[in-house]
Amino acid sequence: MTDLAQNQTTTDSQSSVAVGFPGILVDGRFWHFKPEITSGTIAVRKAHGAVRRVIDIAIIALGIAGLLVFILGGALSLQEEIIKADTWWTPSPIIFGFWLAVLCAMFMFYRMLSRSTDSKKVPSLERDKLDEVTVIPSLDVVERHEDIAKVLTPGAFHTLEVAYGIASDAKHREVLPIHIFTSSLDSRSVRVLMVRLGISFEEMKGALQRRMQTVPTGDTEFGSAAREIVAKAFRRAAMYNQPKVTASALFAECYASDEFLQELLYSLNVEAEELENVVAWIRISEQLQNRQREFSRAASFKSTGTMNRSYTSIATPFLDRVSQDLTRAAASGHLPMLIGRESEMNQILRSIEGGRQSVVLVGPPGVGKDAIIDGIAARMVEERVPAILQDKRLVKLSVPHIVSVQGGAGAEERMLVTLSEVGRSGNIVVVIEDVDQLVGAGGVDLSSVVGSELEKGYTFVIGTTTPQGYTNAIERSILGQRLQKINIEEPNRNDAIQIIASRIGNIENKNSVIFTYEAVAGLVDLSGRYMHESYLPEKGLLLAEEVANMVGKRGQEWARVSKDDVAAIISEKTNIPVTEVTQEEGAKLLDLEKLMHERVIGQEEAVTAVASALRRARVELRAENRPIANFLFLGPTGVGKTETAKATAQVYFGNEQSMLRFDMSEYQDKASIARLIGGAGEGGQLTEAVRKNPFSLLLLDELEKAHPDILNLFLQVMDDGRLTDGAGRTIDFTNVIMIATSNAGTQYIQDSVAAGVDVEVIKQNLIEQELKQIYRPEFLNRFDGIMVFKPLSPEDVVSIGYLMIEKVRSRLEAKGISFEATDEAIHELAKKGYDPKFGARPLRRVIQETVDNAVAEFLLQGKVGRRDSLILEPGGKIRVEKAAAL
Amino acid sequence: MQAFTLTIKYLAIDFVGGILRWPVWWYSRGFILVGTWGIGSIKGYAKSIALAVWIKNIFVPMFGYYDWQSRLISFFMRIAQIIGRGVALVLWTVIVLFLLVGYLTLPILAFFAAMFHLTGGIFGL
Repeated sequence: MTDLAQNQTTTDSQSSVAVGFPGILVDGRFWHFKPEITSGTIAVRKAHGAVRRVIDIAIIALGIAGLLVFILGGALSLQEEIIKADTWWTPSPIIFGFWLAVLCAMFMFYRMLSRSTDSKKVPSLERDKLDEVTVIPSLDVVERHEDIAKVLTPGAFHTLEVAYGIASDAKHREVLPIHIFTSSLDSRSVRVLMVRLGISFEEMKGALQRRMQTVPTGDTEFGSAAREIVAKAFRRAAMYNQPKVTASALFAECYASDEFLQELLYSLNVEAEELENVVAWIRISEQLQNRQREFSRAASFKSTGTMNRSYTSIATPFLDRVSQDLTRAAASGHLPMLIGRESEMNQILRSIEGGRQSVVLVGPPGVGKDAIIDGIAARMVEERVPAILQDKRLVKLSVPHIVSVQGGAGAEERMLVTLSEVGRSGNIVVVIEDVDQLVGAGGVDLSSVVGSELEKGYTFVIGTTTPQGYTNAIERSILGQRLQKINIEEPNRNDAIQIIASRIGNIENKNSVIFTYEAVAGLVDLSGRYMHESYLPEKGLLLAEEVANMVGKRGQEWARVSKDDVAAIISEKTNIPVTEVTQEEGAKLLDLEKLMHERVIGQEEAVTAVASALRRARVELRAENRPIANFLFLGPTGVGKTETAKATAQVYFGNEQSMLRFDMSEYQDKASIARLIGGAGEGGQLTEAVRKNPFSLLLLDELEKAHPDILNLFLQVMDDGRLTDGAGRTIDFTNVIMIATSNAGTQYIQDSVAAGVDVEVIKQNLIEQELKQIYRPEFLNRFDGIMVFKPLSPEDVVSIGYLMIEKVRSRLEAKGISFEATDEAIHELAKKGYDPKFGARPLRRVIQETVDNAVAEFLLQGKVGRRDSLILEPGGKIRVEKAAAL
Repeated sequence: MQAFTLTIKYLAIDFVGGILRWPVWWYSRGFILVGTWGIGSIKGYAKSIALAVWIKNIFVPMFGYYDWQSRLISFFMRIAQIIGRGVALVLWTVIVLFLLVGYLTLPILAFFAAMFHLTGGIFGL
């Protein structure tokens, strides 16, 4: 920022601002922005425009006058004489009117056509063949030059003039990127861009004004800085194959050349990459519209009936009843455009062209198999296909229609009739969705019928199926041998964003909302991260519908959909906090230790470590390819390990039920691996649990008892955040908090604590010696924290006693009975329930025996009722205080 | 004052200059534009009536009937279609050519006719 200011001061001291001519060499021609822009030229252009309009109006008026003379004169005086040749050979003002109108019409035709063909187009060039913008000292050094002004849109030219106006009003000595940037904000294309970026002029106004005040003053000149921006915008248009230089190209280049503008947008949460992507989004949607126009032109030549253009096909009455004609749907514009997928499309067309080979598209549901088939239909409409597909229909067979009649009886015959119609007609390519359903559809195996018909070679089909369907039903069947498999993968991030962006218009119009780019990218990123059960782009589109609906219902017309709205819907669906941290939640997060200590007594070190991990996870500071946190809790039984885990689940996932608890003592032999991760045909206990609840706390009790091979599984989980189950599915573990508890080294801990050794030292010794015998060092290294839970002190047990009595109180409160315990009574209970070996566990039993049992008896004997009070006194006595009669 | 001279200047450039450039444009660039349109429209029409497809398939039986009687009927049917469509194409070509000739002659005709009626009809010369 300061650099720029200094630069300006140095130029300030020079005599002239303009140095050289910025431009770019394309095919031997030097393209540069020729016109001068001064107040004078702006006035001249305005005057010129006005004069041109006046002339246009005058000519049209003259023509109409001539026509009126001819019509009125003809009707009033000449009447039927007008059709006689003599009338036209006799000089007459009425006939003159006619010829004047003709001349005027032709002159207007000339004016309009010559004006519209006058402007040139930006030459399109490959990115690597395009030079950088250079500044030449004089135009004499190049032989041929061209004027960029001829390829500017009127809007872009206007932007430059307004930029000059802004600079000259402020008496700035030179038109700079900031002026062009500011003036471009008013153009239509940049306004769209700003909406997509989620920013407004109001947000930038103050900063822009302050910045403008630092610009050196003088006589305003449209110098080389501004001309360089125009040249760069020209280069951008050439690079992206755009016929004209638009205001948004100027906007993007101002941003790219001015550090201040970059910083300004950065402060509004817009980064360079995002801006480029939004510019690309708008460019691509314009190109899509052009493609759509070309497509409709091509579609007018495609025959949409059952008959082909060479009249060799036959009527297909039965097929028509059980199918949908995709080429007809495409020609009438009912199918969406296919985005990307070039390589898959080429693969399919190559297979078909190569040897009339039937293909099956194999991919998970929602990745766009149908979209590819629609794309083939669209290409068949345009006839941009191999000869074997030209002048043909693409027809989607509805298997249920064939099967469902008469409870499935005769389905094979009906399939044969359909296929024979296809064969006789000769102009039909059949699409069968979910070909795996042909196997065993309605109790009959249609796949062998289709398979054997395909073997005869008179037609071929395009099928779709899922990977599971392919493995289970198709691969080894007769049909499978006739079908060439083509894998359709989930589109990558950029393609998915483009696909969703291309369809977002409909969703926006339906719900009267506007998606920002960040929201669209959020649809892809967040659904990719948190919704593993479905696939892009479908899940992104479904999510977009829901978000748009939610935002649309807020009642504000054309409200903007932000990334936070997307996050809110995802949070709602998955129960995982993904929205930005609110102030209230921030305060809660900072106070996490206190919250957890409401349930866990003592164990400061463990609670602090867990709380910090949760805070890191919540503000997205954690590594995304590992579980949220991996902890190993060591210590004797009954000291709060499980309680800490429960409290964590409660705090982070909202309830303690979001905990998947595995008692590892049940998995002591090698065979138990299969139980955890499943085998062919059945899911594993661990993998299924995590697949169904990807956002949970995974508690592995008594880890030391598990088979060593199982520890290796968890090594992978901690490392990569995923695990492959027996069926070959990858299960995502990146959203779990993994806590393992272990009693290993308990004796050592108890002895050391009793001897007053520092916890840190105990931990170090545990890791270096005691645990080494059970866990491999690399396994221990994977944990984010190993926490030693100390044996409870008698004071701790008293505190726990209070917590447990509180639980009894709340249980009784539900029955309308109030309960209290005196401090002495609680201390007595704690003393009774304290056992250094078992921690607080005996306390629960003591409370059960003294309090719960007695209360149960009172209740059964009817000694206590609603509104009564129970008071626990020393010696384990419970006094009943009857409530006053009403 | 400056605005007035500017207006006069542009009036001269735009209107007078326009009139002078008009014939040149009409018979050079204009004609290329209109000619291109004409050729495109003939091509488009040919494509839409699929004459080439009919000629290519002249021996292919229509409607999937492969017996020899049908083949014979088909052959003559296709001949008839080709003749019919050929005539239509020729007709359209003639219309387009007529329009092109009109484009070339109309300005001269209109100019002289207007002059004739103007001088004789209005001034009575």
